[in-house]
Amino acid sequence: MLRIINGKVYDPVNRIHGEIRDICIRDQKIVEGPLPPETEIIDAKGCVVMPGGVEIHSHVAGAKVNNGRMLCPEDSADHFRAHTEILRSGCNGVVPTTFLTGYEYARLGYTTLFEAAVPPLKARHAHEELRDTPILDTGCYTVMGNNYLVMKALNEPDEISRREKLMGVVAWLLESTRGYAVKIVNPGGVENWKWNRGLVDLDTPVPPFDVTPRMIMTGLARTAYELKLPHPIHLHTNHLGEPGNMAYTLETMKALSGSRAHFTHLQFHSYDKSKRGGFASGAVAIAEYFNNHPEFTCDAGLIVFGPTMTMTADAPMEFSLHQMKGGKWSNLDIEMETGSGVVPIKYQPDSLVNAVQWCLGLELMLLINDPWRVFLSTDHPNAGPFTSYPLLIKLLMDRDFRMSWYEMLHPKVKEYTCLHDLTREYSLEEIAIVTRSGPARALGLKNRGHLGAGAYADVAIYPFFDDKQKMFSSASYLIKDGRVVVRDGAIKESFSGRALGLELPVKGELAGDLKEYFEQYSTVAFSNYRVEEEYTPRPELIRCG
Amino acid sequence: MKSQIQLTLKKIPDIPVEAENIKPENMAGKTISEIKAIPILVGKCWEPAGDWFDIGIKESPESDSEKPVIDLFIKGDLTRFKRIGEGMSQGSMRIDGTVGFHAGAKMCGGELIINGNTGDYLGAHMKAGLIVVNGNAGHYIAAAYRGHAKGMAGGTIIIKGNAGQMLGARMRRGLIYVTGDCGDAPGFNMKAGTIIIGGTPGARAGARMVRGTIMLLNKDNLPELLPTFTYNCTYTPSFWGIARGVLSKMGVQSEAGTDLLFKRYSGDTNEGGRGEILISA
Repeated sequence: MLRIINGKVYDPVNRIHGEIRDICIRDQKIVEGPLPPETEIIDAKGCVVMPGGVEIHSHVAGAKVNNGRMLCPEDSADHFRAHTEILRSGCNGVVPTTFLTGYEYARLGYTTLFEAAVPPLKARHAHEELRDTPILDTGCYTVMGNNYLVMKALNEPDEISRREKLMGVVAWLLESTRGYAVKIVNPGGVENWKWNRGLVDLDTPVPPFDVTPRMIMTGLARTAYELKLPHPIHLHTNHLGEPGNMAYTLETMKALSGSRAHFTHLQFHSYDKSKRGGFASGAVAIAEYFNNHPEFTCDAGLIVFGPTMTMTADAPMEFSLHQMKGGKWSNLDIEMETGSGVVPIKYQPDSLVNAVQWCLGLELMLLINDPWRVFLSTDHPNAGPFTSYPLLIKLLMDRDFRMSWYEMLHPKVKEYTCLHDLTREYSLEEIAIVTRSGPARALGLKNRGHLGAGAYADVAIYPFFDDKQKMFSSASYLIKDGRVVVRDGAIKESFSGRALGLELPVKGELAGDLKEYFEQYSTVAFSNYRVEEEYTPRPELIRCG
Repeated sequence: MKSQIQLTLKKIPDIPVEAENIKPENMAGKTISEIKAIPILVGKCWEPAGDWFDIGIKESPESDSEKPVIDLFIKGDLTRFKRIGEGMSQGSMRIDGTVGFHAGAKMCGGELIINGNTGDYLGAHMKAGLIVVNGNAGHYIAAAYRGHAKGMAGGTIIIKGNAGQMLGARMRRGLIYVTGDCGDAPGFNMKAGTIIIGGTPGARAGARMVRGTIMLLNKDNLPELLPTFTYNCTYTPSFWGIARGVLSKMGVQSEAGTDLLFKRYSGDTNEGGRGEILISA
């Protein structure tokens, strides 16, 4: 049992806006109180108390993340950390090792984490690494946008049987991979590239089943709705990182309007085209459309200047990035499911393209009015490492600081962006929404992201400073499941978190022809495909609906 | 005042030792007991250098510069000692005996003379200074560590015996001279700099080289060049005379005269073809 007193509590879900409140914890949960007088007390005087952070989109475990680590051994060698009595050793470069990922997220006050893209065949690997990511409760999204079984089901001419088959495939994939949500990466585009064809548009038929990206996205969005998944489709649209892709993103939004969808790292999909064909910010148009469509949520994918690593299942994008930049590149073809690529990269303020990207991410965060629908992310490590969140929070909360960075950018950036016109500054409450309460709501996690009775006792306590970067860079306390994990920025205890999964309303079963197809072409036997429950020793199943 | 420090190895350790603390600047102005206390990593335990070395200091009055110059002499078979002289920036160190991996790696000044053989990664990522090996050297000399794009960034390495494979891999600047033969792929992916090989190189010289020069002074028994190298002309580059002069000042006398003719091949075409291999005609 634990009581936190004298802290300024920010709990947007329960409408507590910086009031001094006591938080009572009993048996891993937050309770109304009162607690017996001999209860241990944490005095949070001069501190800000928030729910534990919820990371909605981050690449921290699985095949491509490991590829990223292997691709840059020099980065690991430069950031080696020895073990201590409590902590394991590891390397803390742009792609930290599993244990350090857990420790560093905990030091920033995060308690829940979702790995953003797991191809079904690589799910075992991802779960093994998530199990080794301590302290945090973790889950993962299953990549389906280029899956042969999904596309074959969508190719079914009869509508009713199409819906049934698709629902069976999606449920089966989620079940067998122990995934939490449907992730779609460049739907159809990766498969089209594998057939040595060009880029896809919404209505390009993609071999071998001649389904279009529109069919894949709308079909999966509908299935996610019918399965009552807590998180809707998690969508990385086509044409990532191309100038002028804003028009395509708007078209995709129109195609999906009316159904729930999460647009991930929206910054990479909101470029306008300048007269010369270069990059310009399309934040105004995207934010305007987005503001009028309450069914959508997004995370920003803010750029952080410095070296980092891009890794995604969007293999064609990584290939063109490699052709543009030279240097290292790794590519994986995941047979009937997806592709993936890894390219190290460095974002530089004196590069006009990077400067536009940097402004665009912040513009999206500032122009989208409802903080409950836009979340802080760097698409770690694609746009920057998650360890830069304190810096990004300060950029959002302090316009003068933002402008001092703006002055350092490529001088032409003013022509292509509107960041200098935006005066909005985030409040502490809004920061609490975009980093914890909002993502928790979008993910359908009812016991996280708030401090009301019944919620898990995941509490982050930050020392109050005017310098918000300093304030958020290391938590005074982090309490996870009622145990004090971080004290004064140092990890005091380390244990495995829960594995978040789904309790689906239907049993996932493949239709006969799909099963036959799978057995004919997959390198893995049908009976070996499913990830065994031993891979998630501490499961927590979230009920759908 | 010039102080000379002499370390003599007492016994050969059974397990590898990481001795990056053994370098001239760490010994400067210290007493014998202080030097004895310098820690070295034996296996997984930090142990004082005094446990492994007999230490003597000799003060000699003559000084040829205003800064105190420290001369460090080490004697013994240091095959299991890694990282000796790593990051050294001043002074001179002479080792009479064989040394292990990473000797003189990341060196940024001073002089390292090894009278014996060396292990791999000699002078890796070296920035400045001079390394002379009176013996054979291992693989990856002056190379970049795994994952890094650029290795040696300056300085000179002279090897009076043979060298191993991947000599000067990914080097960015500087000079390597090998009197004897060398293993496969000298100058692999080198960004710039100069490698001069007196003997016979192994296969695939200059594979993936971006810029830079590889000079092969011995035209006999040469393996075939990669098909991505093309013949340009036969001439005597003016810098050969300069390089020869510089080397002779460092005590390396080349038998070849200043008017030696070279066949110039440019490559690696796959990387833009701005590098050159010069083979004596």
